[in-house]
Amino acid sequence: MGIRIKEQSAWRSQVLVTKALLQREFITRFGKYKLGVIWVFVDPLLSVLVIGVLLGPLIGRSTGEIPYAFFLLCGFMLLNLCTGSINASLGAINANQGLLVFKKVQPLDPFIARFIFQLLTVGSALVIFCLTAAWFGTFLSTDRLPEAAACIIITWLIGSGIGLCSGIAVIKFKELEKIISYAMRPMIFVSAVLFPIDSIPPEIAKYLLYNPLVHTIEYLRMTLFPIYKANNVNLYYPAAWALCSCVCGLMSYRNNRHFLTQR
Amino acid sequence: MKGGRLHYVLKDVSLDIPSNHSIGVLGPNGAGKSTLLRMIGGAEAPNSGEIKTNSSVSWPLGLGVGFQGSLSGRQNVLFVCQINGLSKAETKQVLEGVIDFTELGDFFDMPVKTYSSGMRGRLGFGLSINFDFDYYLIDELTSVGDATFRAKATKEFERIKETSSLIYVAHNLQLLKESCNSALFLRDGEADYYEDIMDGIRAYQKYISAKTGGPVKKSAVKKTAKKLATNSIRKKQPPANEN
Repeated sequence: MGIRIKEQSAWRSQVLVTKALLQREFITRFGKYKLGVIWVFVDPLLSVLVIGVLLGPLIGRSTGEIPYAFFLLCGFMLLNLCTGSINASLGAINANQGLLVFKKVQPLDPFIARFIFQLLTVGSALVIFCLTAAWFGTFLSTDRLPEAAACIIITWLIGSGIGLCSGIAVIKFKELEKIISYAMRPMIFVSAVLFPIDSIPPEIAKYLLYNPLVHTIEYLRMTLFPIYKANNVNLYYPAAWALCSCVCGLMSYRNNRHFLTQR
Repeated sequence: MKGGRLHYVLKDVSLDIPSNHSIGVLGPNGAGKSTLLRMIGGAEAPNSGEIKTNSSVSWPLGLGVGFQGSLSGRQNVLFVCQINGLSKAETKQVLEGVIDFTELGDFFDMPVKTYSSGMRGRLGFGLSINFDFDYYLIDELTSVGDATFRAKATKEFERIKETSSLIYVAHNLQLLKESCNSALFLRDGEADYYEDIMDGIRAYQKYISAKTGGPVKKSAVKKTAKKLATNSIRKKQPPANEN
């Protein structure tokens, strides 16, 4: 009389669970506010507006060829992709505690769902912004789209890997939650979001170049606006970061697997 | 972890639980009954070793377990159907079955965190009976709800016992005697299987009288707190911190 649950392959189970958790993310984030979906676009636009008005006259000249608004937009969105993933991961386990009781839902799944959610929302916002800009006449190059996509994916992977590490660390040490979210705030100043890396004196720039986001953000600007040039920037360094952070994240998951459910 | 000490809930336990037996899990508080149930149901993984089965096993059923508070009852039911790969027709059948059984009315579309513990229990129970498992893992699904619900629940319980087996964790020995034919007795990191529930109950009672009557023995097992006591308390409270 009852429904017999059929055996699924491991991959199919993973896909089903990720989809279900993604849906749950969408419902909770966007269900409450009617404007929920709009907020994904309004938030970066507002930041661009405020910073653009405040710092535009000051820095706008040094960005040269590309409009400062776009300069900022690239920076904000990529930074958001990374820090947003990290911040989302801090609450991933706690918010989905009830659902972990099912055998099909492993503690890694809420993390995966949140990271994919971040990529989908920020990624599509970025794409829509570019399309809108192109429609309004801003000159955007489409020659290097695969590289642009690579910038986005690499940034996302860095955020996801670090996010996984922090999300798990936070379960062990609750105080880390505040520390990590505060640590994300000054990132905006050291990630070449507000100013090009070339406008910084070399003594300081060489330290900023250790930040992988500086590379991906500047590179994205170069792929979208061919006239924009940034020196000492490449995609190999952030790609290595992406690989390492994902490996660290997955290793820390594996080592703490039991602890995550024994709450 | 409290104080960083290791507490073995179940150490080096190897069991072969036969099929088609309803098993009552007995033991003092903190013996690992709920943990064992959770491990069998897949909610927790053992630190070492494995759990093998050919039968279909439910998730650990208990008061308000398995719900995401900010989602509505309907959304929670849909979630469970989704992760198990149910078709549209099957999902519809489950939904109708749950709505029919739980009689939650408008509450079905309100967030589960607004439910009383009785409603959560009804939803949990109503959801599980619409699936067909070989084994139902029941963690002290004690009487919740009013008399009409309890009558319904008892009827469903009887129906389930005809075709499936139970692994039942409870402190109420009378209930265990009625519902189960075998017993699993857990204490101090060990577990023993008794083919006859009465033997298990006798062993349990002997253990209790030995503990309360005789001198307190120091446990030889290393201890790291695993918050078992708080686990069983937490199950009865609506989870906090959900978004």
